[in-house]
Amino acid sequence: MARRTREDVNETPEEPDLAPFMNLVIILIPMLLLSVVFLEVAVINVTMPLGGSATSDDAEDDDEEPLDLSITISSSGLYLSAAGSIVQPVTGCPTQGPTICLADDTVDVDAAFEDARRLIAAGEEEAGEDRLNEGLRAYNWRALYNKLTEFKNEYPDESTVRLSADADIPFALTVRTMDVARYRLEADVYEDDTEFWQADFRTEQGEDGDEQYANLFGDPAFAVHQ
Amino acid sequence: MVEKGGFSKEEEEWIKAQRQREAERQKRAARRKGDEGATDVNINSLMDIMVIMLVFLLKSYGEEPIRAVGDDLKVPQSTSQLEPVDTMTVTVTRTALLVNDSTVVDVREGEVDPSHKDGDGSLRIEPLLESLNDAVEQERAEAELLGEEFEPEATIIADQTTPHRLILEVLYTATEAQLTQFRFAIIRSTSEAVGGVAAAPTGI
Repeated sequence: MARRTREDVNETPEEPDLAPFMNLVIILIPMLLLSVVFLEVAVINVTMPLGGSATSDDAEDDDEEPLDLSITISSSGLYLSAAGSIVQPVTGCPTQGPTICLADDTVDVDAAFEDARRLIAAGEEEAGEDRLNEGLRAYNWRALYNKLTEFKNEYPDESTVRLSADADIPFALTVRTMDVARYRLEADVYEDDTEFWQADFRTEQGEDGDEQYANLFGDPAFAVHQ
Repeated sequence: MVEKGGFSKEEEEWIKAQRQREAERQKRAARRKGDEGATDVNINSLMDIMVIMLVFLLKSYGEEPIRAVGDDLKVPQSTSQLEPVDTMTVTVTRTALLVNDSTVVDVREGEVDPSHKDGDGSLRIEPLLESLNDAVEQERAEAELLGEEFEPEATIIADQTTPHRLILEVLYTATEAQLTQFRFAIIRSTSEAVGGVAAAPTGI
């Protein structure tokens, strides 16, 4: 009997030992879970040329005129300019206006961005983001892509695009423009928005033999207008 | 036979059976009592899970190189596939500019106070230039110590609503500090998700 009680005493201390540790673990796990952001962060490479054009100088040796493509983002649409002149508006857009007008001109994008900033500042992040996305969706990204592939087919070696924008254009819009201009999709021309956004990137053989995404205008450079 | 303990064989057998029953009952009772302590067993497996989770979470906590989402910061989504690189960072939140996580200058409504600039038309933000120069100096010294070549690059973590003007000012100031290569931090997404086609009714 005596021996048995001693055994009992020996067995019991294990339990109270675990409890504080458990408490610690239980507190630590939610804390860490909250702090961990399950978002994958990636980057976009950009350059900032100081004075002068973004395109490389070696193009001068060629007889061909450099493309010197630039996209200017405004609240009424996207202005494209290539080889020193503004590209004429695409079909379906007013002749006196941006190259690619808004897909949905009932949306006042300036007001949308303004609202988005105000709502987010007031703590209503979700409503603000919805408003921001509404503004982003108003642009005709499909038409931009269709136009850019046209240039790419004409100048297959060019990959630089100069970006400029009105002062109030939100960063998200600039990023979206760079997204659309980055990779080639399966087709050159898309007639349907859903199809356009669901399209996969076109792959090609890289220099090292690996499959990689086909570049459209994947080297954005930021232009300064002082 | 009869003298031994005064029990007959049947009685002895009965007593044995009785004792066995008693022992069994005790065992059962002990097991029942053990049931209350049976959380013991559950705790062990739970502990295993928790310890593994703890290690995993601590690892990812330490690894996070770029703070992309915060109280006054949310970087935009993009389809870019490039991996982030550990460089110096310039963070543009809705309320402040930070260089390597230390606040440099306040931002109000997407603008830096004009008193921090040469004039209204200037793109150079003086306090940012100063701290960028310091940071570049430090990085250059570190690279020299390690015998590596200094890469004049910076990662820019900017909120999605940041006005283009402020982005340009930051980029311009950074080029003044001899930085040439920039990376914008973004949250990786798919073109389907950024396009927002799901929001539009497709089949009616």
